[in-house]
Amino acid sequence: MLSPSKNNSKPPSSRRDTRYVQLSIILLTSIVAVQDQAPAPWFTEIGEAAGFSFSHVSGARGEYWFPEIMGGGVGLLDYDGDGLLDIYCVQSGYLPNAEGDQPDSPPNQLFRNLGIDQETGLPHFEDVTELVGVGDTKYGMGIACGDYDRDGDMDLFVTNVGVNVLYRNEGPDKQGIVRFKDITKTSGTEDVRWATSAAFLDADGDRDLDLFVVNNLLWHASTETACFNYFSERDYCSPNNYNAASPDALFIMGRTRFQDRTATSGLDAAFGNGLGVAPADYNQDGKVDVYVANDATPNNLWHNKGRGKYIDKGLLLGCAVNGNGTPEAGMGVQWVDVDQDGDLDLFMTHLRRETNTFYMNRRGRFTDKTNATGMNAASLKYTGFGMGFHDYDLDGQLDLYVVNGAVQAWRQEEVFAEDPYAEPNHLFRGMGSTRFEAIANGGEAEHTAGTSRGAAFGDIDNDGDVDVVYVDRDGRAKLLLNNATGHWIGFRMLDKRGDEVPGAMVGVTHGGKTTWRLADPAYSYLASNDPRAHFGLGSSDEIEGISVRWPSSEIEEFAPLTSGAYHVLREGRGLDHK
Amino acid sequence: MLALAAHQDPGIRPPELPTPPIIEDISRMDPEVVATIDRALQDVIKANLEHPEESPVDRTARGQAWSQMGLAYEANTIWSLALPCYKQAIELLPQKPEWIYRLGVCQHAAGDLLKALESFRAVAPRLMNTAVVQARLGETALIMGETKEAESAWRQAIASEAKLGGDIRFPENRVGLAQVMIEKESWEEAAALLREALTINPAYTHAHYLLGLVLAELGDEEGSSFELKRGLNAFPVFPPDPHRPLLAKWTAGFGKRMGSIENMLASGDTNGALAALTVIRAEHEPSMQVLNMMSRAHQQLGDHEQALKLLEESALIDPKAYTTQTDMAVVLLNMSSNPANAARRMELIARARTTADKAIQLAPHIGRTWYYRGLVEQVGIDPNDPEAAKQSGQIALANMQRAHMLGCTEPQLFELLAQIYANQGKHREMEKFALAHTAHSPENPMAWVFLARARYTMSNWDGARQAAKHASAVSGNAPNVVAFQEQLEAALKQAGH
Repeated sequence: MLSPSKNNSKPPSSRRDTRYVQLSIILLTSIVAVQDQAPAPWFTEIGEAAGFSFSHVSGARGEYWFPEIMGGGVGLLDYDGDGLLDIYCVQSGYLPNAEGDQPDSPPNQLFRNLGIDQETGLPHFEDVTELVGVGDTKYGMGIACGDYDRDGDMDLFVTNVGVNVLYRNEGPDKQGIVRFKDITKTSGTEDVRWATSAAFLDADGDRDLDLFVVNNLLWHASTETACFNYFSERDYCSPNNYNAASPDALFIMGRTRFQDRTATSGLDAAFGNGLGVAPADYNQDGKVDVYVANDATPNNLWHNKGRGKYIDKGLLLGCAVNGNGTPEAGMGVQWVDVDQDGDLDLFMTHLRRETNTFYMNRRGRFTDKTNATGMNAASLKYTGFGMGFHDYDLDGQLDLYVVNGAVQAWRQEEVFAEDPYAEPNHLFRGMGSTRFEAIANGGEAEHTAGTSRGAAFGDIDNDGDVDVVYVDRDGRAKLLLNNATGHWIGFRMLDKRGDEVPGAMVGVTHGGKTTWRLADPAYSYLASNDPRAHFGLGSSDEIEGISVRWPSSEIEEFAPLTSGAYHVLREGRGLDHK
Repeated sequence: MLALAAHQDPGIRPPELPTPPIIEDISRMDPEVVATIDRALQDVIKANLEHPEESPVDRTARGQAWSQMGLAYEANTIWSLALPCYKQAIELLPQKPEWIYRLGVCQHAAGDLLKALESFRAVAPRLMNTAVVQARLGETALIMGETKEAESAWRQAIASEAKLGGDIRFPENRVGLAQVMIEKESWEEAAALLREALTINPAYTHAHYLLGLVLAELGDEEGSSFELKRGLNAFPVFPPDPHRPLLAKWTAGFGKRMGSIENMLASGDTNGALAALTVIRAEHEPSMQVLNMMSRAHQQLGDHEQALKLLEESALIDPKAYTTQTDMAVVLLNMSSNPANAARRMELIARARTTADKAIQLAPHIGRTWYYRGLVEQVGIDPNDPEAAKQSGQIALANMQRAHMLGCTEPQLFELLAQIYANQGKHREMEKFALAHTAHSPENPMAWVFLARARYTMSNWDGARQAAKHASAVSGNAPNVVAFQEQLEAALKQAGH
């Protein structure tokens, strides 16, 4: 579990001094003359230096099998309860052929966060996959993290092309080593379809975690067909070429195991080629709704009618298709209060030649306000997948990081890499209101590109800013350490029992203004994220008030807490429990 | 690829003239596309050789060749290489603003909106009365957040219609301006423009979707829901592009040609499609896609025997293609319903059952295979044998349910499911799928009629009335549908509802 007492932050002015002292000297002597022109990079890629060494394998062998272009996923979770976020990478591997034969694939990998290395000043990691028993080798896609059995530790659900896997966290053994157990067969979650994103959420309001699994299409090697890209070359197909969209699945937690309630929940009434998932109570009625981003088919807003019954209201509420009525290729998705008016808006990443789309929540109805964001010129050029809105530079405004990578080869005027699908990522700085501006090189010192897919967001070194981990198809996974300095505050949300609770909204009042964040790990693409709520505070470190809207929709006020630290907010322990 | 090779030989082209952009690696490309581009390339090389001077005549000749080269690339969706060609054409033919327009279109297609906006801004004042140019400027400006500029461009697009003479009005221009009004939250004005667009083209899905959004803002929930469903799967459309025939001339490649034949078949030009398919069949190696599409054309012409023969040939070429088996099942079912084949009916249905079973074996994950298996049972029901009919009905239902769970999107699936449930007296399920049928095919008046009947059966009088009203509206008040609505109303009144 992430520990609130573990506060690695230092005063803003001195953070990172030791870590980057050598680098600073070099920079000062070499580029002092151009210091004004070259803004400091927001992020530094430290994956290899930190011992985070995951290489993705798509298994592509020139046959252009559709799932090859869609993986891999990544999750941030504190599996061992030491207060540090560990990284779980979902490997793709090799797909089974039409006869069902499948070559051996490399496993998924779990990297334990060992904290800051005294020598390098960087976080460092060790591969503990085999030790803890989470190295599934099926053709992997995404990940969901949650304490479904309410025993105080994080369990893992991995989605696959084929049977998904549920790993129960067994806690430390006699040697003090945390172990996982594959309980798929007895859990009631066994499903052979191609699943992509997944989320733990309390669908039926009984205060335990259920499981929502997004399915893509019913893929099999025998259903493959020849498709061509804009250059009339053989390439990956559009999902609509398969005409085989698959309903999503809802597993409701019973006393000891999950039960498949897909049919009775209403989820069989509408479906598409599902890729992204984000649960949240968008209309603040105390019931968790679910948004599913579908690829080239209308998205679903599963409105929770209570007791785990859902109805798709996406079309009628204006967020199934874009403002033109066109279904877009939904990939990553997040519920986030972009316009800071206290309700949750929606943002989604899409294919090249489609915008990344911003649906503004206006009294429970959604309006496509993408044109007002200023991001269209940049986002139309590339295909977005993982994404996360956070205040990366701690200035009090939400920024946006999007990882990009094509799904069909695209011979652009600019060539980014040998990989014909590679594209650069995007960082957009929040300018206030709902406008954003693109930051050069995606916030890094140098221009990089890859075919990026899953991206997870969280404060890996607990220094008060949000870092980024993402997986490049057939490339090395990247860890972008955030270089920000400034005022901040963060929260871990626990229910009355003391269990981690996803779906709470936290409001922090400072400078006379209240800003809201949703604390939920399920957003982005094929990802599970830091479950804590994080706030940059800009120039003011004075907190005037803290409010929480719990998943039950009860609102609770908490006494102002000190900035520069993570705090626990426990349901029922506030100042004014209503 | 003579020109592609010659182009790279500095000995046969004037070195001072700009070189056309070429595709570096053509090894994986469709040979037809390569040959077409090669043709355009030869024209540029020829123009360079024959008209190397800076005289107006030579510049015009070279400019025309470059513009065609741009069209050849653009028509084959190779926008990045069309860009330098159009730039050359603009330089050599400064008096022809149309190439600035095409440059903008390609910049937009390639995702460079900033440059596209610049191009459209440059060309719009020079082609004030070309609606599509103003419309492109309006759309790009709106995407870039330049609402005022977008509004002015769309208004100019509407104004330009007057210059065309007659009563030409493009609904696309009203929809474009309505989008600006939506951005400005001027709901009433947006609604008026969209209604105007729909009077010009009642089947304009984009206008229906936007009207649905606007009606929701104006508090008309029922109207909004109706319009949103009719507007699903819309996409922005522009007024006619004067270059469309030229682009069509340069379009090449197996995939694109097959796509255009598909459109011919959909629009009812069956003989034209068959002629084009015959040409492709002669040019290409035996292809399952070509044979299956030829079979479809013969089916449309009512020649089921020939359609079946072609599918049998196709199955030999690609025995793993489940679509061939499902197509075969459809042909056999059609043959079985022909009175001339009455004696062979059971034999044909048995064959259809076998082919549908084979399709399931080949692609058990695909809902359509189960749908066709269900369809065979449904069609094959023998009303003279109640026990066998009951069994067939149950098999049909099981297969249709499986198809539904597997995401089958066949338009008749929901209607068939509703019918099967109706036959079994399961009214709640019947209404559920009748409703799903209207949601899936909101433009189909018979789907609404079916829903009205289903609701009448369930004593849902208001619901039945509402569905019948929708049926009339969707059909454009077709006499048979209006007559149904009147009959329903009379029956309800008679029963005191």
